[in-house]
Amino acid sequence: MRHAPFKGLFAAALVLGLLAASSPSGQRPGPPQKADPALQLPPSPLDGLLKQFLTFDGGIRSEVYWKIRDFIRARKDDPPARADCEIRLLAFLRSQATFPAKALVARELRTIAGERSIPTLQALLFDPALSDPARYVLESIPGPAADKALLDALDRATGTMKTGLIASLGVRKTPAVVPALAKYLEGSAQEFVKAAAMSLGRLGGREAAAALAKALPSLKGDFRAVAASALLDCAEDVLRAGDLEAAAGFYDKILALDPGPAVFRAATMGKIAAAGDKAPQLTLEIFRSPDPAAHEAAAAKAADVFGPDQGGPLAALLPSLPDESRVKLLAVLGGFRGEDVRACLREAASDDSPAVRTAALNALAAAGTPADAVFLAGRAASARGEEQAAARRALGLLKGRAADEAIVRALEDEAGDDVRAELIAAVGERRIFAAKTSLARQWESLSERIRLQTVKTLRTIGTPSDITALLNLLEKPLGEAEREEVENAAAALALKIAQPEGRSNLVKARLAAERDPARRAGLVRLLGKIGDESSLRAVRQALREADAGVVDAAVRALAGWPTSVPIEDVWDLAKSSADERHRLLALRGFIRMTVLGKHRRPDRVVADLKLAAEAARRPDEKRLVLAALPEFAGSEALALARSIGADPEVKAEAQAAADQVLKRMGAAK
Amino acid sequence: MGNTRSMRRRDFLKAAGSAAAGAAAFPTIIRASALGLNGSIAPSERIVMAGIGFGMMGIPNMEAFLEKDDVQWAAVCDLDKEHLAQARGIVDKKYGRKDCAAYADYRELLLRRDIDAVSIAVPDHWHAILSIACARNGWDIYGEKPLTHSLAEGRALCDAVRRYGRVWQTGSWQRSVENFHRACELVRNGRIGKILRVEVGLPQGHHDFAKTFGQEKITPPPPELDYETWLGPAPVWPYCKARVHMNWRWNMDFGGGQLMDWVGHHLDIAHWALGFDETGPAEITGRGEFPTTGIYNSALRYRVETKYADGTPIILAGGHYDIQGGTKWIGEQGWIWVDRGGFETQPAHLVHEVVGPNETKLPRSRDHYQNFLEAVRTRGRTIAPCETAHRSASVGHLAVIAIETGRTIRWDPAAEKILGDPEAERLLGRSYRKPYLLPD
Repeated sequence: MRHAPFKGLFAAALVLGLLAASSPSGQRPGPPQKADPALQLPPSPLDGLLKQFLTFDGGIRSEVYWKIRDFIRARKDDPPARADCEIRLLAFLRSQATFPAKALVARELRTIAGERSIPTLQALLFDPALSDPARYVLESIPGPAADKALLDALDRATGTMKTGLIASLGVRKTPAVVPALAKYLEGSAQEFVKAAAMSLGRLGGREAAAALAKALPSLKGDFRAVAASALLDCAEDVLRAGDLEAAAGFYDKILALDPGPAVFRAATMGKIAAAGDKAPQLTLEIFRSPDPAAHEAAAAKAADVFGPDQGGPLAALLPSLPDESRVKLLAVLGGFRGEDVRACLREAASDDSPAVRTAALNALAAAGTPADAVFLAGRAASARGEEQAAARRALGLLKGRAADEAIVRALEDEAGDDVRAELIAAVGERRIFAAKTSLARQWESLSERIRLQTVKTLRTIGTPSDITALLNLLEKPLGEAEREEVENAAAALALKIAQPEGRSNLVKARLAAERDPARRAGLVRLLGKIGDESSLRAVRQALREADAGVVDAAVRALAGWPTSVPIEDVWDLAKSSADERHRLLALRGFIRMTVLGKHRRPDRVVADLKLAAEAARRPDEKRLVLAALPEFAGSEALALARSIGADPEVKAEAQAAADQVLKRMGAAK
Repeated sequence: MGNTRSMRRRDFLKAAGSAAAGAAAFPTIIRASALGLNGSIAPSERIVMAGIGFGMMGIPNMEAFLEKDDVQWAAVCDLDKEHLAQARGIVDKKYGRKDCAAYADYRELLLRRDIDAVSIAVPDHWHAILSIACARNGWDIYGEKPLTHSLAEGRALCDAVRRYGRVWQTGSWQRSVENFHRACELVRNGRIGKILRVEVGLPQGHHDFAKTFGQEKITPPPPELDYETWLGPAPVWPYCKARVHMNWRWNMDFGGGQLMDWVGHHLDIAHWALGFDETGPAEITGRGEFPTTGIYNSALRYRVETKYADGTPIILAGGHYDIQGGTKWIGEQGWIWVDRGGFETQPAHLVHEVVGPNETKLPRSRDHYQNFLEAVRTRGRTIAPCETAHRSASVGHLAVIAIETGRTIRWDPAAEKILGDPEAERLLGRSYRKPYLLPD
């Protein structure tokens, strides 16, 4: 870094600035100034930088600030150099520099200021603009001298300056300042009551708590609420320090004054914490009261107060509580172990209240054991909505391999279809790979629901080695939903094969040997779902078969292909298919594949979309093109949107698309 | 609240405190959010919400909540009249009415007694004051990351949320996305063995969210914006357009740059996997490169190296291309990398693995907003609670201090104290402009 040669002029300029400066109130700031220490210093490159910074307006020209910052930071760990910087920065604060310049310099002073800075800063505390930057620095200077400077200013300051000083004294957390702050709690100047209370709360400790507790009864309305919150903060300090009796006394003071609901709950929780060994007893007593707000506080503390094996007494209270309290206690009871807790949870899971039942099922997710597996499957089978989701979640989360074994065992024994379907779903959710044999037996079930769920679960826990079994299933007479599920499962398992080009081998082999048109159609559909490029030839051949079902399957396979590889095939179909359904499917497939090419130049994508628009015959086809256009914003997209808008049936959508394109074009600029 | 009720409460607690057996007749305070119900939810049983701040995330957050059947949005609050009108318009359009209350002053909103929960999305320097005030008001809070603007504020906010028994959800929504959840569970269950190193790649530079870059001329604030309140507890800076909406993030007096913006996402995920949700590093070293002109002063490029008590190093970097964007755990038996839309592993088969019920399961959410609402109803724990957000933000705050001082920071995460460096200790908090104080 290079600096202009310094001739010692800037120190003189600073002094002149100081002489010219006075506080806006007309008071001479602080004690009489002796000869400025900055004048005693030899020239420094910092002076040149500070001189350049005198007129900084807080805007873009901040280069000099960064240089000042670097200069100071490079010297802050060298005590003589640090002191040198401190003196020069203080002189700058006394100069006629702009406010933004002084504020930033004060910020740098904060990292190096010591007691030497206090007189200058104390004087600035009465400057309306600079009192904040001066306070910020004073807040950070360790030791009682800075406290004294703030305290001395406190009595003389007025208005928001006094509020600022009250805040700073709280930040410094010096117990000695408590009396000075406490007097504002009881003074006639109401504007400072809240600030004093909040500051005492921030300061914390027993002395501050005592001051707040003493003032609390005489305060009204919002003043009392603020003071009560501050006392809560202090009481926690006292509690952390281990003085339970004193803390309990402070919480009692708050509770005695009928606080608002939030403070009431907080004080009740604090009182439980301060009860020490008697906390369990107090918690139970609170639950026996009829106040849901108190119950909420007790529930929030229950896990801290009772050990993980001691939830029995809490659970026993459950039936006597109002619903909203039961929901809250149940949320906690999941964290407790023991048969007594579990029994209560199961009972609550059959309660009249849906909210209670759901909360109990959620609790069983944590507290349940393998013995609850069938019960939860039963609840999942009979419940609906959120309650059903909770039962399924709980069944999925039961801990231990014994839970897996219980589910598989129940699967063999369970007679009811609804419960068995839930157990099969749990096999998938829990990834019980050992259940595959049991699962295979479910395929023989007379219930379509069971067979469907079995295939869904196999999709999760199956491997490519199960594809053959699924293809065998496809050879049986199946309903439409079941066939689709089996095809989806086979495709999902094929996609687990690491090499993409080998994913469809088994299906292609079956197709080559299959003569039944309906089965051939199913296999072609399956090839489309797998999307293995090596099977495209077989699908194209299927387009030329005589059977309409096979042709339909081939069109659907191509139109729904997961990548854009067969885009030319679908475009040909969109242009030339005599079957209106096929033409429409192909056009939609073409638009989808065009949009997949996000790596392509937008104008080329739009050119393809233009082809689709020209081939579109119905408004909904044109809407598909319009919906894709904003992704490829540009003049071509805009022109296409406007030309499609000539059709009155899609005019509004075309206008919206054009607006989106224009917006994105604007954003790109 | 009447005297009778207060007397009963007082009598009861006095009696219970002295182990007397008698239970007094407590009053019944019924909140709209007290019960979780299935299916169609009557208006009187919905969670009543309000929003503060609609300049950036406030609108999408509110729109997500408006989609939920169990939410009734009652009020909006913003100190920019244009933002306020836009937010109110969205609510009124949703309900087909014109009765969404609008407040320019959050203190007026706080006077309402019908609100259960609030969504706060304001500049970082306002996070703590507003959030603590709402917690003290008995409201549950959906708040944005980073949790607060300083480490000391973060501790104060966590204490307040705990003290008042509030539910808190941080906008660290990656926790509710499957890839991140699965990656964390795999790491937690030792699929890549002992963790040797974690790399967290964050964005670099400054992004022109509001398209106001270059509009740095000092001017009077526009009439629709209450700039004095917008500045709030932060130091005074003269108004210019590039300083405020959205781009405030690049000035360290209002935001924390890319580091603080993203630490609540990718480092939060790193913490989740490692079980560091309630702790922090023992050592932090950092360096940054800053703009030399213009109005922004947050780091353009940065690199932060941390070491946790168990010896795990976590590297955070923005603009250092040896660190891939997202979160990458490198273990003795492989690595796992996850980012938005990206999930890769070595060995490759891990990417398909899901942990079983007999392994350590992390809490699961697939809808960040619904997860908050469920916790509001049950008083349960959200997927991104306050303490967790504080711990990820703490790493960012400590990184800023390490960069600022140029020294290695030694940190006691239990006591939340910087060890042996009083100068760095001064930077744990921020001074407030008069007449602002942090509420208790």
